[in-house]
Amino acid sequence: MGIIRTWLYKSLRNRFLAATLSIVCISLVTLGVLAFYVARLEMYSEVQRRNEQLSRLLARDLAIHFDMLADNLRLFSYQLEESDADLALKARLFLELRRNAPLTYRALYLFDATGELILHLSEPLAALLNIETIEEITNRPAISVPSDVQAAYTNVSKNSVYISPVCFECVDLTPVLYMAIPLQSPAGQVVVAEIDLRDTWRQFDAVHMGQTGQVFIVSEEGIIIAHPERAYIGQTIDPALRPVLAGYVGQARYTDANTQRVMLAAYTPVSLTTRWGLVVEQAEGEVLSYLSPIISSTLFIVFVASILTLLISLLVTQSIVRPLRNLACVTQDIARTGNLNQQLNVKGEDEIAQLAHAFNQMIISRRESDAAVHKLNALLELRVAERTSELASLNEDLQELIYVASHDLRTPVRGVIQISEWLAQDYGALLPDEGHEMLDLLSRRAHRIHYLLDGLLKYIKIGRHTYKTEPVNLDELVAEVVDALSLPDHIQVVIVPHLPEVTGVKKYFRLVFENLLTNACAFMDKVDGQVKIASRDGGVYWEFSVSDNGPGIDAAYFNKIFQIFQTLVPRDELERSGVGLAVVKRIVETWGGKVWVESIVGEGSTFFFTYPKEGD
Amino acid sequence: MRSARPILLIEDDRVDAMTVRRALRDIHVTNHLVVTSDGVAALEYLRDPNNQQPCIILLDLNMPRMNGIEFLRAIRNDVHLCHLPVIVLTTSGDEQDRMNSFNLGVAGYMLKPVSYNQFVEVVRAIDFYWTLSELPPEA
Repeated sequence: MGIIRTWLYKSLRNRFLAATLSIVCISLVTLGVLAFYVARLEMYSEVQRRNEQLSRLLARDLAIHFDMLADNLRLFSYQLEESDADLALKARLFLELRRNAPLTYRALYLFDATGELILHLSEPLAALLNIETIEEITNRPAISVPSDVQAAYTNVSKNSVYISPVCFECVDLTPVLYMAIPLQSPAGQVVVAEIDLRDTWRQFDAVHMGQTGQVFIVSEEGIIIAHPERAYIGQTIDPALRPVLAGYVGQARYTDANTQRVMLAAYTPVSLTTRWGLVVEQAEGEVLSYLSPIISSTLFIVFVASILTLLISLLVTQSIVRPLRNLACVTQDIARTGNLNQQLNVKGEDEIAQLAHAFNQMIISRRESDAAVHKLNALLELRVAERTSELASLNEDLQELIYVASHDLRTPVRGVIQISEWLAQDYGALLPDEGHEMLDLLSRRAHRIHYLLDGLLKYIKIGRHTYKTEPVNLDELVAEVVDALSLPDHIQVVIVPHLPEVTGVKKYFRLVFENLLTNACAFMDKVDGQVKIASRDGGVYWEFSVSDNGPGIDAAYFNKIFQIFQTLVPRDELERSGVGLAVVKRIVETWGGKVWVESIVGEGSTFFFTYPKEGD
Repeated sequence: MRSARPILLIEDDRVDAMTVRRALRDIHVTNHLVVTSDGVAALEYLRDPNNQQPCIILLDLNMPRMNGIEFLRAIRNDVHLCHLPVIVLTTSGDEQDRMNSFNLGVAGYMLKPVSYNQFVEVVRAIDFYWTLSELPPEA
């Protein structure tokens, strides 16, 4: 089930195919089955109608035949009556009759009123030809009367012909019957004829109905008395056929007990005189076999129609699916590559063509709007580039201005500082205490201006020149820096385990470590100061850290300390330029690294910075 | 100073000139101090035959008209002046300035300290050195 569902949902074509195939198959199979049943019914009724007509016809023929026999015998009996008591004439008549119809009459007997056999002519046909004189017949010695003949004599009534049941001769099973006719004169005499039925039955031999079609006759007791196959003779008929014994005409379907074949039969009573029934029947299997060409041709038509429908539906499906697939392809391509320079081929005017047309329109409008966006983008980029270069040059101008200004401002500030010192030296004695204090403040403020300008210069100088890069042994460099700083005795600097050699601008590394170390030492509040320098391989970058066990920094100031001129102690307590960490940040950012701090107040701070290895 | 010849100070800033004059006085250097405000005026002074040649020249770098480096280049190209020892006394810590100065054969490169007392120490060091060191002979 799952596989079929997957197959169905794989493509539209599969669904179309499944739909058309099922429609075609269901309708064709239904039609076929219906046609088959109609044909079968029709065939049944046709066969039965034929059987019935045939049985009527044959029964009538048989009745006529028998009537003829009876009429002939009656005519014969009239002749016998006319001969009156002349036995020789009667014998001559006997001989004539037998010689005229040798196959019909096997024997003739004449009884007198007392029941004595007075004349008989029962020898076989060959012997009959040898008879030369009538006396040979009349002067015969008496014979014992056959029981059947005796029974016929006994059963005949005074006025009507008696026809015995059919019986079979023991020697060759020849079907015979006995017909007894009472004579009017001399009264009481009865003539009995033994009639050979083979000649009568022979007319049914001409009836041919396929392999299993056959005609048979049943006696009024329901015993088969004539049948193309000897084995059936003497058997009782199927109950389905019994209505014929009551004189009904009809049809029946029954199973033959001998062959187990289902038979379609029609029956007709023969006549009132004999009370026989005639049955015409054919095996149902054979009747149905007439339908097999119809079935096979129907199957062939179904097959051809299915193939044709399949082909047509394939064509139709293809005509629907192909443009859809094209549409899907182009859509995917656009989604993947964004290539809008393509169009779908539009054929016809159906809904799919309309869809393709609309899609093409959409692409065109999308292309136009894309072009507009591109144009606008280009314009914007141009404008941004203009602005950026304007800003860059403005920035450069500003930096130049700051550089020049701070540089040139230093000289007059230094002048102020020195003059204030000379004033104190030369005229200090003349000034009251308040004057001294003012001079002192003047000197301090002038110093601060000088520091600030100095810091500003240091800061602004970074990046003004491009320095050459070289291999820098950081172990050596840091050792040099520590030496140069001549740190106080209570502070120990440790490098763990040792630092890598990198390629870069030596001056910048020196400045970074100088500022970080100065910073760590400047605020050291512990008796045994520990400053630790470490490095870590971060893959594409080196990470360096300078940690101290100083006072630590509140997390609120982590950003502020890296800004220029930002210190966390009042100016007058500790005169510092306030550019150390700003310089570090500016350098690290110049080479594309990051700088940050981690700290616990009271326990110390760690400053980290990274150096990208690709700079190596 | 070993010589009694004057000291030539090339300095445009009056306070700086006063600082040098005061420092020399404070350490009891008696040589006459000639102050010119830029390179052009200094060359005029040096090329005037009426003027006595200085024993050393104290040179500021940032000056109008002709700056210190230009002045150095000028006297190094002048056969009569190229032997004069020049000590740069400047506020510029610029590496390029330092490099140029030594390339032009300066005898010393001193940064002007902010504090006057330190300035005095610098001038004292110069005096001490040039008291020990022989001077080039007078032209």
